[in-house]
Amino acid sequence: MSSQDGQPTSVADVTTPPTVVPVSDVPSSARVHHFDELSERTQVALSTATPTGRLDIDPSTTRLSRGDIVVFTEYLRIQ
Amino acid sequence: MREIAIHINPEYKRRVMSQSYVIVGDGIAGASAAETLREEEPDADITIITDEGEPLYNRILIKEFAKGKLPEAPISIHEESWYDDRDVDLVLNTLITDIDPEGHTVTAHDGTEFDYDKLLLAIGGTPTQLPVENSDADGIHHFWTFQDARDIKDHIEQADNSVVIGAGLLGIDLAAITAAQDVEGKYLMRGKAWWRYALSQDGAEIIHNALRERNVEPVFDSGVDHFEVDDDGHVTTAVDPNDDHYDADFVGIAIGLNFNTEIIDGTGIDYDNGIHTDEYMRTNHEDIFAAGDITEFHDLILGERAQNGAWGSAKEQGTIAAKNMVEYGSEEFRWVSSYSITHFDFPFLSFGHPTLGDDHVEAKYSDTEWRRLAIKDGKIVGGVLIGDLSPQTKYKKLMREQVDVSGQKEVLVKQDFELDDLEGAAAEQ
Repeated sequence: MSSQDGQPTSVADVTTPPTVVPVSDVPSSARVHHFDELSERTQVALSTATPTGRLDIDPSTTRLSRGDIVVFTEYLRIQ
Repeated sequence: MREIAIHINPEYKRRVMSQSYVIVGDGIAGASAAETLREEEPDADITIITDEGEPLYNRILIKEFAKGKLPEAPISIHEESWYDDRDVDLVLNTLITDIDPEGHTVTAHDGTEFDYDKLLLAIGGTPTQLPVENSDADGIHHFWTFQDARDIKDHIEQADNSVVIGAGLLGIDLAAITAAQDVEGKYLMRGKAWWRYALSQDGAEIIHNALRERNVEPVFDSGVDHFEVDDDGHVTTAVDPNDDHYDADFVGIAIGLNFNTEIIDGTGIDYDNGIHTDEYMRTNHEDIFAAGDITEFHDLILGERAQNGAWGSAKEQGTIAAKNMVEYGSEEFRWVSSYSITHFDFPFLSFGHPTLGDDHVEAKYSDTEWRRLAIKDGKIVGGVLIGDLSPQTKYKKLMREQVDVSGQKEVLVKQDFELDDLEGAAAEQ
């Protein structure tokens, strides 16, 4: 999901809880984070994501944006 | 003629004259320091000098690039315009070779001098060379910079077989790169387990099995005695101390870092394996600070000097150093670091100082779930979690708050451990 100017939409901009989906290809334009760059709270949320991919994080406290990719045990896209 | 000494009150000078800050090193520590300095002092002169040929990139993602899984663009963190936009002078391809603390100057390899009021040394390290015959042959790689990753990717994509040396956190990155590129490999280790200073055999075996599943075979009680090369000087074989021969047209070595302390020698700045700093990241010279994995900082949680190369720790140290360069004593570095491995289908995270301590407790819950906590003087000082990272917040809290967990080791490693499970004073923290 992107805003009209093509930039990633902040998780905080949207009220629905963020989810993650595995991806295999990463476009050159993607913003990519390694798991170690994330806050402890976001790390725990990612490592305990529900089977549906829903993340238990407060959208206003994470630096992740929708469309970002996180390198964890697999590549996960935030949406 | 009489000389007249003019003394300017330092606080007055700080307020009315623009300060000059020089940062040596454009890794995450140096770059985060520059960003903080600009926020704290809009009018200051800020210069970053690096011997690398490109601005800040994401050092903890370059392994993914070498695996062939990430394109190059997302690895870059700052374009040169980032520095222009913040009025920070970025000087690339420039190696600082001399520091004059009294004269407040640093000198580059080409003789250029840079004056400073406050200096930050974020100069990191360089990979340790293996002191054996032919260790500089073509086809033998060390892994530290983005350029190293590019060279490794170019080579491994053409390789038939590989050998990796270095049973630690950097070595396993090289092993994972060979696995991701579908190159059969041997992983030579001196002991009987990977990262034997932090993991027991039970914990290490989870990693060994994951490597074997990816066609990388751990070889124990091994190492390298010498390399054999062909007529063109390209490596062909690694020969271990048992005289076992391992074919390899690609070799990766990660046996540690030599910290770049040679320019400190003779300056009067205290150092040992790294540069000594206090908890404000200041050296024994009041105008010189250090940050990142070059520092041996006073660790307030551990109660002794410590060194840490994790990304988050280096970033925080850069920020804290900058704040204290502007106003000394304004903020302490108090941090529980963590480092994860993301190569396998189970998570792995180490935190604090898992190789230290006078006691430990560990538990294995399944073939892919295991924990170990390092304890010193009755307090957690580090640990390793494999398979389930959810307890990390609780363990880090106990470590950060220096809670005495004496006599409750077994409670700590209950699979569903909660802080309320601890008895007495510990539970009240």
